[in-house]
Amino acid sequence: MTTPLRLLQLEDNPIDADLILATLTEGGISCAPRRVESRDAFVAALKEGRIDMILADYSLPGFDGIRALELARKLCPDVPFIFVSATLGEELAIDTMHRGATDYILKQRLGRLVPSVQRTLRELHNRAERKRAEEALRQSEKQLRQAQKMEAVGRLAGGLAHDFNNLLTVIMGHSQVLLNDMGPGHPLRSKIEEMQKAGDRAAALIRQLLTFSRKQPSDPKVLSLNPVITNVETMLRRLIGEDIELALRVSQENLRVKADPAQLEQIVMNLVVNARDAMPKGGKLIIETASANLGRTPVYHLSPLPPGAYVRLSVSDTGGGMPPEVQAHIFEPFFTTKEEGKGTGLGLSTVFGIVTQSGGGLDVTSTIGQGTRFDVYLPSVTAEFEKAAGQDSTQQSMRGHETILLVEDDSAVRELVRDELRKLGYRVFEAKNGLEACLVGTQHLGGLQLLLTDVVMPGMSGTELAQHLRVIKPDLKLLFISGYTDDVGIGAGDPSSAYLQKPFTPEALAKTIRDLLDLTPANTTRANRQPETIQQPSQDNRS
Amino acid sequence: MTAAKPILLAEDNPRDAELALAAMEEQHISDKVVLCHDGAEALDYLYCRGQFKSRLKGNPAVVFLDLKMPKVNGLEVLRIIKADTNLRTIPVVMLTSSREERDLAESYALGANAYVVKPVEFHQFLSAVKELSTFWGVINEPPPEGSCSSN
Ligand SMILES: Nc1ncnc2c1ncn2[C@@H]1O[C@H](COP(=O)(O)OP(=O)(O)OP(=O)(O)O)[C@@H](O)[C@H]1O
Ligand SMILES: [Mg+2]
Repeated sequence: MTTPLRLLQLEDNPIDADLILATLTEGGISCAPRRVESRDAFVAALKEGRIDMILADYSLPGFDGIRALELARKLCPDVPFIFVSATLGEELAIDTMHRGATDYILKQRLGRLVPSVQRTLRELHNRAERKRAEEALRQSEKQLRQAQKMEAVGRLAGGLAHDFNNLLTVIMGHSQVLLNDMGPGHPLRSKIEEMQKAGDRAAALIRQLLTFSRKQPSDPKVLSLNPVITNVETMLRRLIGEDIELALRVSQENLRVKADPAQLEQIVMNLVVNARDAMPKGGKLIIETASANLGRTPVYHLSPLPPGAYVRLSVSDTGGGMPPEVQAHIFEPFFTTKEEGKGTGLGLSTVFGIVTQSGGGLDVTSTIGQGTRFDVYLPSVTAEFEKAAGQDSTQQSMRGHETILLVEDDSAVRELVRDELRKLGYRVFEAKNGLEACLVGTQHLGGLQLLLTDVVMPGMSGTELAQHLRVIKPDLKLLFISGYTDDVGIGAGDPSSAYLQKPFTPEALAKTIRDLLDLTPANTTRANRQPETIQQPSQDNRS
Repeated sequence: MTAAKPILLAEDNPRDAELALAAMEEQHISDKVVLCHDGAEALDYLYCRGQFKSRLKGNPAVVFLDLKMPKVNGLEVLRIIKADTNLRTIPVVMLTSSREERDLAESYALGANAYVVKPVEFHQFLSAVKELSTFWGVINEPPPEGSCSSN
């Protein structure tokens, strides 16, 4: 916390006030205090606002604590109010809490002050966080409804597409047989070739439907974006015809993304076909790639994009543009302004699906009579990651033979972890909670090298358990796993303990365990690691 | 060996004993609980003497020992259990109302299998004991030793 705590002190005794401030400062809480003594000054300060916390004496000349509390509740209901006072009866103290005081601290026991203020600040922070989250939730709810609609429609479309694919296979297969039999000069040949082209288009459409319904298995890999575009250039030129000028402006940099190449092609194809349709009398179509640093989330997204390095793919045209009423719906499935039989309205919703699935987002700018521009942003992947992804051969060194006591109350997680550990060669004792683990652990302590434990459990927590077992076996290695982000930092400062945030990958688990067990007393490098860096490598390179 | 092994609870505080028994009742194991009110009584039970002279032979599944008890305190009972080859395999859980670093260290040093600070809140205590009861079924196979150790 770098910004000082804006403190309003209602205190008539300057010595006490100083002592309170000194206690806070000593406790690591920097304050911007403002001290008032009288009712009027107190009210004035409350009205002025910009207060983070109120510390008030209970007994003041001509003004009592309960009145002060009531005023504060009325004027600054969100600001925590803590009494710091001389003897206050228990009943009175409880009464103040009922009336909305956050806490009361006896001046004789100022030791409680810092923890109390810290807890209050934490709660304040959590509340703000919650508020922010709720706002974000509201924002994304709209988008979620859209996504759900797409998914429902997509499921339906996906089911149909599979059947059509089988039918098409028969049609295409037999027309190929016919073509082979006919020989080059046959008068019906061109008709069958037309049939085949229509079949190709149908197949492409089905692929679109399948992507759309997420049934087309996507096969994301780290790849360079530019070659994907240049590879389809000839096809694109054929597609857009002679009246439209195509310009390819690919970046000099090697832009890497994690995506399915077929899906990337689909994005480009859909945007290009739309641009073509927008320019029936010809015009200019530009495809551009570039690296982009995003500090904001693009307009069209599913979840907010973390700021950082992205790759931008833009398709712009000099066509008719679209009015806002149209633009508001373009990503909806089956929304089309094209005449019957010309458009299905699946193009852009497919694009949206692919882009958001890859952790990206889109911006659209369109001006009637001037043209339209689509900007697709995909998370950039740097070279380091590719290397990391290729390091799977280190598997061998992840194995071990040591004995591990595994404590986890969620049986599904416990069994998963147990099986992973046994696969790696470890001996595993398991327990459902801290108490059981303690009983098991004390009986097998001799051979035990590592305690792998959940943090929050009924009866005896993971940290308590660790403390108990270390009494008898001080060199026991500790690995805490938790689903609560609040627990991050447990075991910090102790080189022979580590923390892993759920969910974690088996690789992260194996690696952390190996690191811990390989740690010799001389080698005190901290073995703590964040699993996300392995799970979501695409986010690794941000910031 | 048909009957499940009993649970020995040595607790001098009637309120704590009542809480523990209620929790065990919830688990339908209260009929197997033998309640002793001090360390001497607990030892009498373990060694089949005094008022327990004619009890069914066999060690309890687990012993819960309050740390501070009249006559013979919990730590002393623990020491005797873990020093006796016939008794040392019985899991011993120390119950205490205070978190004393020294008591904790001493309990484990003497071979206690768990050290539990009696939680103030009843439901916490209950869930702690409850989880333990499921554990007994798993770990305590019928004992190979058929008799009570003689003093
Ligand atoms: N470059 C563009 N210029 C103007 N309008 C556009 C452009 N791209 C899309 N649109 C509008 O968005 C609508 C939806 O586009 P989308 O690609 O989803 O479906 P479609 O092109 O109509 O049909 P499909 O792509 O399935 O054949 C289009 O009908 C059109 O009105
Ligand atoms: Mg389209």
